[in-house]
Amino acid sequence: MKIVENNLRLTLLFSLFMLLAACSKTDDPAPEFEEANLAPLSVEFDNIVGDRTLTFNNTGSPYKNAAGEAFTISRLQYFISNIKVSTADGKAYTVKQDSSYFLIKGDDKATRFAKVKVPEGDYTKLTFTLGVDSLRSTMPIDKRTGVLDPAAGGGHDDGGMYWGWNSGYIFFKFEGNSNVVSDDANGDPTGKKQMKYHVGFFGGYSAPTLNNIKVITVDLSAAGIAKVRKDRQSNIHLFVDVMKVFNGKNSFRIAEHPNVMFDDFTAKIATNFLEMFKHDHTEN
Amino acid sequence: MTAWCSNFRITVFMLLLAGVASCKKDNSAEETDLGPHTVQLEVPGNFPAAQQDLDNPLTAEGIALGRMLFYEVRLSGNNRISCASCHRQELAFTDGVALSTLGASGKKLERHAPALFNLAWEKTGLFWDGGSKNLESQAFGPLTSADEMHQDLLVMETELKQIPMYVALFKKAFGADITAANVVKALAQFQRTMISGTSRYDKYKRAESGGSLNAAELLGMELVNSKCKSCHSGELFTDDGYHNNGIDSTFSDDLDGIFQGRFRVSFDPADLGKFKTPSLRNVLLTAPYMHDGRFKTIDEVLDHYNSGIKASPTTDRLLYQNQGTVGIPLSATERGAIIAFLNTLTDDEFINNKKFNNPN
Repeated sequence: MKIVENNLRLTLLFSLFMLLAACSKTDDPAPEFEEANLAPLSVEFDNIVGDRTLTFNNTGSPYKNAAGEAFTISRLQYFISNIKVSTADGKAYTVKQDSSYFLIKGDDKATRFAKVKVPEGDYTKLTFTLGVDSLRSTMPIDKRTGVLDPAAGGGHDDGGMYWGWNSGYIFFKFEGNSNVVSDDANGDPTGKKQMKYHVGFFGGYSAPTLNNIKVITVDLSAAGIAKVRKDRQSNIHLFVDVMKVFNGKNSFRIAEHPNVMFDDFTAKIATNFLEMFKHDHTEN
Repeated sequence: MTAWCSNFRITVFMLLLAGVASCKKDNSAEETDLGPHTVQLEVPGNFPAAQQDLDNPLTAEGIALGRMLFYEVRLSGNNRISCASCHRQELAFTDGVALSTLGASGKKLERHAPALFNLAWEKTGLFWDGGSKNLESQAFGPLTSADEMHQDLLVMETELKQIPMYVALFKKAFGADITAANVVKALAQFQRTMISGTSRYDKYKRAESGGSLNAAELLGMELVNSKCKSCHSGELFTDDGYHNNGIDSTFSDDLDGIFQGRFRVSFDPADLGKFKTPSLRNVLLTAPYMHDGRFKTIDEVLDHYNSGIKASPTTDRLLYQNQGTVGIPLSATERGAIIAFLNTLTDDEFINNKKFNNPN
């Protein structure tokens, strides 16, 4: 079985090379930008932790943040929405909103692609929202289906991404363990040394309040523009470095903030999200 | 009337049977013809107008289903708790205890179960801090909370789908399968019909028979009008707003901000310690009082407003009725009259209304 898999991988890799070689040879002018002329595009959210790959509950070899605190990760889930692409000459296309909500789950590789349809074209810029926009968050329940169904994923102690006590979605759910987490009420009174970071808040359905929705813009021109054509699958490959949760602009220690869910410190963490996404390459 | 009703029901049933029998291949048209039937709220004459909820319009089928679900223990994780466990009709849909321990974990809750009536007029959010936008989203709170009904919503869908009666009722009400979204919509529809507007006070206001108030009650009404109505306003006896009524002067951020009231939702320092104004209707049925049920009797509540209010930066200025300091001074006579008037707001017809009791 293993051998078959390896062979398959080699074959795939080889085909990819062939494809790349073939592509680079073709003269490939950007097609006319037409909103009706839709072709497939995917954005791949490849979760990493600093310079390492994401592995769950890796107690044998824990990660270490800039403050030197060792930790492991037990859950990573986040919403990506409102995907938009732009060409070098400023033409932009926003994916139809009903098809633009994705829940990326670290433990489910199948969810790492956000697959959308955009007009054929050469795109130099990708924009998306980390979270669920306020408009959708406040829509009637019938308009919030699929990954946005409050029933999806179980309760908020499990994989659920909906808050019942304060109507709205958890945009980013990141949990793990660290020995620096205290056993008191500020840490984890159960003694399991669990850390929890649940970041939500879309700005309030009536009076304006905390808004942790982050719009991420990624420049594709350096690491490879997306050439979207009907006969192929362009894939924008992003690295999502969750180490930035701790090590971003608003760096913090796990020991000081082991549980961040319902308070305004979530805003500090949300600012760090802006540094999390790096464009690695594009497969055209 | 009843005879006609059941005749009508039988006829409908026969038609349905005939429909099913005659065109097994194409009975969808028949089903759509039968419903759902739009319902308008019956608004008491002295109440403000009620808006039909455009996102979840009331239908006879939706309301009937919501009523069944309100009393349905399968909505909870352990299949032993329903909404009605903590919202009992005879107590104007509250539970008579300060902080319930009936939830799945048996842990004492942090907030007091609110009374349920006249919810169609609540437009500024549900829960004591207004954390939920509407009745539909509100239901997800108690349904999923580990200390309340502790339900996995997908499990709930699966369990309900195993009951053919529910499959049929959801189809009738929503033309769709059983989903958590339709569960909360049905619950919301039923709750919007729970109108309390047939107290003796209401009959007095509408000049109906049985609507006389005695001298003490009339005095009490005037006192409530002048001293309480800034917050307990209008015919609903609530302004649907949030106030700090001075029961505390510090608001700890423990337990994820549960004691901080509206601030927990708005993060506005001006909202520290503010909680939603409950209605004075049925107030003598809904003891104990306050968001944590700390006052056991209406006398303790009046003691608080008379002499127990604590001043803090967010204590409502409306409570500074004692020559510029906090407090609403009340004489013994005035207290007696106020309680006499509050008694006229008890709605016996509402708590005995068979439209709201357990249909199962």
